[in-house]
Amino acid sequence: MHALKSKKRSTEILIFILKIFVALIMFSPIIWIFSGSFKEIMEFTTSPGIIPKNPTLENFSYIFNNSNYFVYVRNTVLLMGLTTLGTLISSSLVAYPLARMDFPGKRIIFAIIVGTMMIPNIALIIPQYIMFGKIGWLDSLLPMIVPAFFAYPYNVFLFRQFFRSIPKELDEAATIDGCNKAGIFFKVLVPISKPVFVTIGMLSCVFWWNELTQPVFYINSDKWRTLTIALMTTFMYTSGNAFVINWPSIMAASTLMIVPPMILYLFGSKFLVEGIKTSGLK
Amino acid sequence: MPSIKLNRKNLKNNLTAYAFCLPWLIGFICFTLFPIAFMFATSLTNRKLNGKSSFVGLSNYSAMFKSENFWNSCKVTIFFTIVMMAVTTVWAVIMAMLLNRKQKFNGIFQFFYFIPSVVPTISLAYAFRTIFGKDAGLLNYIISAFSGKNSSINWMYDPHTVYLVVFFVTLFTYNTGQMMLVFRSSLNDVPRELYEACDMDGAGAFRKFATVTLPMISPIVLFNAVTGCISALNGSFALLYPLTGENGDPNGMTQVLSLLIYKEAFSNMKVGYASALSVVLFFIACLFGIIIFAFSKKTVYYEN
Repeated sequence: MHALKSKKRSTEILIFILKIFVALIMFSPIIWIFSGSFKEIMEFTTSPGIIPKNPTLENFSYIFNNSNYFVYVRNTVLLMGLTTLGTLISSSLVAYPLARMDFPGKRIIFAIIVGTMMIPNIALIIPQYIMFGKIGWLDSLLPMIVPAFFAYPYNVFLFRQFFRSIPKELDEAATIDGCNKAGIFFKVLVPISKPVFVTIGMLSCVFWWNELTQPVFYINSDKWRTLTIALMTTFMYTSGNAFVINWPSIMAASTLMIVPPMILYLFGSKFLVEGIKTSGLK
Repeated sequence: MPSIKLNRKNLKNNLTAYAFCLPWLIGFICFTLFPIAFMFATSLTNRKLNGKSSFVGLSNYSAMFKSENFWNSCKVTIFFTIVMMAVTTVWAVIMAMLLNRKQKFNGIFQFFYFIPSVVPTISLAYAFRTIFGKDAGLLNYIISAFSGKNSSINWMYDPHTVYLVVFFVTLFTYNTGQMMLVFRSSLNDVPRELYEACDMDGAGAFRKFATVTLPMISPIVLFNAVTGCISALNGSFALLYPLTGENGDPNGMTQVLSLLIYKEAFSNMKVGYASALSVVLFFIACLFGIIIFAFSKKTVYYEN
């Protein structure tokens, strides 16, 4: 019995060590980015030590002084805020009848929504690019913001899953009180679904904060650059020399980009984690 | 009389439902249906980036099928998608199982395991470009320190190691973190009694996993793996463009279709040709979509 217990104990310790090892692997790029952002460019390109030899804030001041950093922040926040607002309003509206009403055509609409979820955005980006070019939206945030106000299938799907879990009796009680179907949505469902809105809003914010593909296709000029594209263009080269990649300033800009999602996780992990669990299940 | 009243009420309810669906309908027509039709139409022209175009029939397609780049790219796309799906699923299961061991600090561990998923992919790509760098790269440094020999492998540009790097990087994407959280909750749903029965039989950890855990979570593993396919198709651009460039270095070994589309449209300015490539990508996605439906019919219930 004693031997069995000590064997169990040693496996527990082994697993704990394994956990630490995995944590080290998973966190290594982030440590690398943080440490790189305090290195001098000479050190970054010659020595891979984790602790910077002469820690410097030069890279951060380089970013602030040599680029329109606050313009990029404004653009990213604008993009994130407006797409999230748009998708919360439109997707919740569309999800409501799909989750809680019966009407002819419901099954077909739902099938199409699930079907379009499977089409990767990148497959349609060339025709969309031409289309947005024709109406003069290129080189602005509009090609990303406007579609958000017309319900993303994925978010409709998430809202539907959440709305279905709310007891139907609430609707019936509201009907008896003289509420019509639209009234039920605005007066009953929305107020009690606040956590759902927070969850989907967070997922949307994380997505748009990190989104690279669509801005790369749609945005050209400096004045509408988002942080992700700035990372690939503005901060890429040292000023005056287009052949030396300015890694430490890329790392410094990355550090500044990593911190907000980290804080979001620390304060909203409950919403974020629950939302992701639901999104992946079905 | 009451039936007419009821019909009226029904009609009113139906109209309300359609009104609520309107934003989706407009969006679907403008941003999905029309672009699909337009993509097919453009693929039959020699449209350039500056907008000049004329009808050329199927010549984009015949050029495409003769192009070595195209076939290479299709191969890379399918290879990348399937391997990424497999690698990230296995890694997510491993992390979920580790986190589900009842030990101290699991909350902190979950933070460390999950945070890379919400970090911008472009930051990760650049971090790994330097970690796997030839000269002052962290990995070469660690290998040198352990082996005592000077390691100077050019991980990103060596045909033997580039896939190792690329698939290692996929472990840090959102998809992996999402699956990890999903598996954590589904592993918790496996009945304890089954494990206890295993203990009585004196089964080892591996047998427990193979005979209890895996069969119990297999529907969810399967479904998440296949949805991972779609995010691999969609997310490959944001990951590989900053990592290996539009040419998919070395020698196009990592040039997935989305990179080729971008290159043809914006570097070679052949938008018509890029549209033909998009059509192929669209059909590959449809193929994976059909597979998902086949799986989800078996494993997931959409109650009505």
